[in-house]
Amino acid sequence: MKKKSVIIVCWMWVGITLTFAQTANYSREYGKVTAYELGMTGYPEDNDAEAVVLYEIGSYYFSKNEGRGRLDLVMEIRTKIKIFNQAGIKYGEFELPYYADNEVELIEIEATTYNVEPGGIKKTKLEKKNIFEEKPHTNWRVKKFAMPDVKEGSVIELKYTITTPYFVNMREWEYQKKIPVIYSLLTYRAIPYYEYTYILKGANKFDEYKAVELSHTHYFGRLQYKEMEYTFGMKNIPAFRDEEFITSANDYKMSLNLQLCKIYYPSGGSSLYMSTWPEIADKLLKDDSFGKYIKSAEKEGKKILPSLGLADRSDKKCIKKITRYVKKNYNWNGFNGKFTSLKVPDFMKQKTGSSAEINLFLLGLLRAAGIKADPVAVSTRKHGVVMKDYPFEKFLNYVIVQAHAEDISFLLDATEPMLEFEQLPERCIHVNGLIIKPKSNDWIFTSQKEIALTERSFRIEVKEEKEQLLVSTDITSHNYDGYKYRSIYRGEKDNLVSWLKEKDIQLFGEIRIENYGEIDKPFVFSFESEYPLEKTDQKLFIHPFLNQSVTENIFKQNNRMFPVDLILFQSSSYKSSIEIPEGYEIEYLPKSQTYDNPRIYINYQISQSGNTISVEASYYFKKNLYDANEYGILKAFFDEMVNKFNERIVLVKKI
Amino acid sequence: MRNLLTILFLFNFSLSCVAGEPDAEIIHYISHVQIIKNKLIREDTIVLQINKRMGDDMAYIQIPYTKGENLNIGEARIENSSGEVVRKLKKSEIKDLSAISRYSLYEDDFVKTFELKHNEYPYRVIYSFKRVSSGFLYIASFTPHSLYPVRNMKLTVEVPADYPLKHKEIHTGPPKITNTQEVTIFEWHTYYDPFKREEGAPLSAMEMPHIYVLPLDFNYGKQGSWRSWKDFGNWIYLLNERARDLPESEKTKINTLLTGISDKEEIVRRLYYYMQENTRYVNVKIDVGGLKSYPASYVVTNKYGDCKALCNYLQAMLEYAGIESFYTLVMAGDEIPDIHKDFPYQAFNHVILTVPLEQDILFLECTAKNIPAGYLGSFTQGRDGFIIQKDNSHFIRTPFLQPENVKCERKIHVPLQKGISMVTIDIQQRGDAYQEASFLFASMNRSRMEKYIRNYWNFGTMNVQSLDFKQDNRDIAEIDIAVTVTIKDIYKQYGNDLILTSFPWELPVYEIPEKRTQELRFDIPICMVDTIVYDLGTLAPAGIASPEISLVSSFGEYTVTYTKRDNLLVVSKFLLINRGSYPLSEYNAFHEFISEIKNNEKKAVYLHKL
Repeated sequence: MKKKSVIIVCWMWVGITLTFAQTANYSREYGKVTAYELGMTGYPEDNDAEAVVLYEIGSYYFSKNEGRGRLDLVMEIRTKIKIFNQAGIKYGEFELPYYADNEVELIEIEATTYNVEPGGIKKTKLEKKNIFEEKPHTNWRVKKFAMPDVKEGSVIELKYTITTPYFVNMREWEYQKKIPVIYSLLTYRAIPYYEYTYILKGANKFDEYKAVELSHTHYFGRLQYKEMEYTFGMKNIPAFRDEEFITSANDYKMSLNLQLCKIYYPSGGSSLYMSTWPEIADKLLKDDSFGKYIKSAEKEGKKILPSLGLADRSDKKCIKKITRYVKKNYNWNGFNGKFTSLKVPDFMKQKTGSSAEINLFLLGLLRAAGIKADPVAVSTRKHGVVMKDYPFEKFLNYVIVQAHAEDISFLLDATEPMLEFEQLPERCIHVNGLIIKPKSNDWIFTSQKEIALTERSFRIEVKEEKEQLLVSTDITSHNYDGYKYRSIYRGEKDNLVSWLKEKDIQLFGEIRIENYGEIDKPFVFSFESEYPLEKTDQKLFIHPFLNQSVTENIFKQNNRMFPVDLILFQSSSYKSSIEIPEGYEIEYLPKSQTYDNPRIYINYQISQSGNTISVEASYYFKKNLYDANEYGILKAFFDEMVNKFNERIVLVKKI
Repeated sequence: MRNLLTILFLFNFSLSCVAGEPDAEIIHYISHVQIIKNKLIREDTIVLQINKRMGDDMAYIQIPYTKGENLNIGEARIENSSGEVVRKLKKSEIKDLSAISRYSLYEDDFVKTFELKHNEYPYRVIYSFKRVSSGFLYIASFTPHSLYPVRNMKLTVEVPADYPLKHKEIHTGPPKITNTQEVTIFEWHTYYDPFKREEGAPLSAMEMPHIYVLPLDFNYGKQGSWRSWKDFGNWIYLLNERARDLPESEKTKINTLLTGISDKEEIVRRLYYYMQENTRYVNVKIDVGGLKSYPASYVVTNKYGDCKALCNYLQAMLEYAGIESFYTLVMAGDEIPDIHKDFPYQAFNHVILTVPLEQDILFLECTAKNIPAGYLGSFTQGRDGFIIQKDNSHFIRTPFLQPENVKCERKIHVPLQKGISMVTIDIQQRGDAYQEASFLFASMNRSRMEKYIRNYWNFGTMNVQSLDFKQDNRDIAEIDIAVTVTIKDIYKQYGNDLILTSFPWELPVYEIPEKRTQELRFDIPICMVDTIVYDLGTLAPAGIASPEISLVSSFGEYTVTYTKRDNLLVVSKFLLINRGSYPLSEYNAFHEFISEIKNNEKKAVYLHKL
């Protein structure tokens, strides 16, 4: 048997009776765990918490790297976590990413698990050999480890230090996590050469804030400086629990972002990282991977355009045609970005590229055709809302195009061929964008041009002897909904069959498709299906929209913390025509009804003409973003709608 | 334990394309494998054709390799439909990344990736690679991806003339063998034309070709052999024989734990639950292709391990307690696999522990947190297990889940009121539903559980008010869930008729018989029982208009009965679908059976009023 003294058992408080004090006694001293912490069975402030962060303390400062003759950024982070139950055990697994390019960030880790065992406290240290390294991307690596001996009741303490020459990589400080945090504090020791600005999200002020000039004078080469120590602390931070209809949790989570905004050189002079939006626009225009790429694309565009047959066409038609050309010929590789990493000839050769390569190429082509067009830099929805008060270039992570024709302007993106002209992908809809022109501080909002709409129409024939309803369905989808259904179909009927199968729809015969390739027309698909006929001796009960209208409320929560982001303005409509079978007459028709209020419009109309009953229903959301306090009302209206749209028509045998 | 089969194709698939022209297809897959000086050298050349933009994802190429292997990517290029070279791959475009499965903390597997896309269809991506391995269990293994056609696959294996090897082909022919003085060359040709798997059809219905080529003897971690199952068992035994190193501290704990217990089954039970309570599943695959277990001392220190390490640890504890148990390999998965008994190969991906009792055999799944001792779920039930025993490794069959093991029962109490009704639902989950709920119970916080229940139970206007999970007896594989929901307008009156909200079971949509081409198989029975009690309040109906149903067939049973007692209407529903395999000729009858059930499930409950 291999003997290894891997378990370091310290009988720290021998003889202590493990009946713990009831008053909260937390220690923030590294290496010290209190009897109270070990004895906790839950967190009184949050009974549902599976674990709690007892503290998280960070210290960011600059350190002299004598060997390299430079200052490195050091980030020391330590944290202590208490595990309450099985669900909390996953907080004993860690992934710490670090950057590895020309130089590799140094990362040092030590960690210990504390458990109460009969007779005392057992400490188990994390062994170096159980720390693994993953390389998920070219320039990023991840240190991964599972803490030893973690079970219900364990306390884990972790300390790690990252030393890096990449001082723009100052790690964001996350106060809020999926579990509650009792205490979280970051101290940052500023030096006169690097100026950072801080951006606090999810809170208005700190529970603890201090700025103190430290007395010690540092000497490094010709440099002589004192540090300024800032302290940013928060207490009793609730767990951040995901809710439905949130695009970017980062917009709401409490965090502190330290951004390098200026470097002062000891020799005099400085360079700016945070500047002004007009300066950012100018800088982008001069950049090889932005402005110069556009110029190069314009040059290449002059060679391509003659083959597109643009002569004598209006500007709008030219814009449409060029956009279609780029969409058809170049594929998006799934990467967002505002800077290109390929040169134009390479992009043209590879036929595939990032959003920046595609959209700035489109821009070059438009300009080559004499169209007035500018890039618009935005932050994608997942990337979070741009804070206009903080002019940092990195807050903009995507670029689209604004083109002008006959006094109308169009916002364009060529990454999604199945989206109609002028429709921006969901990732960059309803966001602010900076128009990149010389000295520009012009912002636009990328609003949705047309509502996402799906129309369903049903022709229902009663087959009494077979106890079935024969139903012909047409689904007509417009705009974003057209994109949605085209993306499901992707040229293969089987894909739609599978989708219908998931909706519990059994098909008979073939699906018919219209306008798949004609993106500016609605996408239509039609099919036949059978449903069971609900009947009693004398009566037939017919559900006019079968199970294909709204059958459940999409708003399921009882409480709502955050705004409800539906992303798009959306609408659905349903139409049904039912032939009354021979020998039957109407006994009951649901009542027509309309709800119209500032949040939602719901309409249900029913009529009879000869032997045919016609039912029409529709709804649309009047906003794409609702306040959290509107959730309850939305939910109640949706309930009404579910009940109304699922009412039956009753037919009775004629006497 | 991960299946060690060499993966020939590992692409980033996201599309299904089996009808009509495929989005992408492999025109040629030429693989040449040589054994030179005990090194395995594999050189592959692939011609991939992308027919549509939707197939572009296939042009994102990933070539796997593992630590200790040397992988070089050769020339790679795009050709247009006229065969002209559109572009060549630059070496700088190749990325070398980790390839760790989602369920693992770490694996020493890597992948070299690159992308070659074009915008005129069809286009071809032609690339090659060479991989050199010094230790190997397999010489070659070919299994196509189930979704994409392979028009021409040529595999050649070139070994020294006297090199002992064995091979097996499934759904494809034997090799052509050429002998020279120095070498023997085996040459296989095959192809694959995928079709869509139909609802309830087993994987075998896909008729995918497989070629296995194995060395008769190998040195991988330890000296081993594929000559017989017994030899393979001995190799696994050797790999792990020194792994049961229980530290003294652990032995002391076991002594305390077992004080006063002499019953063998009770000892097993105590040690199994001790392991469950004190360890967790963490997968780290770094040694001998993931086939060698971490020692028991590793689990004792870290309190975690993968299936091998946890089984080995429990085996070590049982051994210390004087109880014999066996490390048992299985091919885990939802479907019962076909293992080719005539051809020893690495047919397994998981380990459980087998303990012979006087009358019975106990099977222990060591990676699940809350299941009872002796419970095997759908993942491991009813299949071959391979018991590892020195010089006596052999197959054993794990037990099938019976209807009573998978029966899910619901008791629903529905007060019929105007406006909002408070409905209570008591569910007793067994089988897969039990395991899912038990997993949730163990691994999620309350808000996640609530979210799960909300999404599961909020149909119509149901609104979950409260929920509670309970597993009363850890020796019984069932979990109770109590849910309270509010429902708005739970019944509706239409003239003299009352329509009550029903609580349907969800059943999959099966192809209509005219479209069915594949056999049908249920590896696990389905059994559901509902008792729905409607409290009629002041409604006083005169009669029940919904018909009672009783269906019995070789596929199973379905009954619905209505009983009126005092002021209560009790709807009792029962569904059983038997385990079984049915040829295509019986599909028509099955479809009729299941359609009748599905149609009835979609209907509401109807009452007449006076």
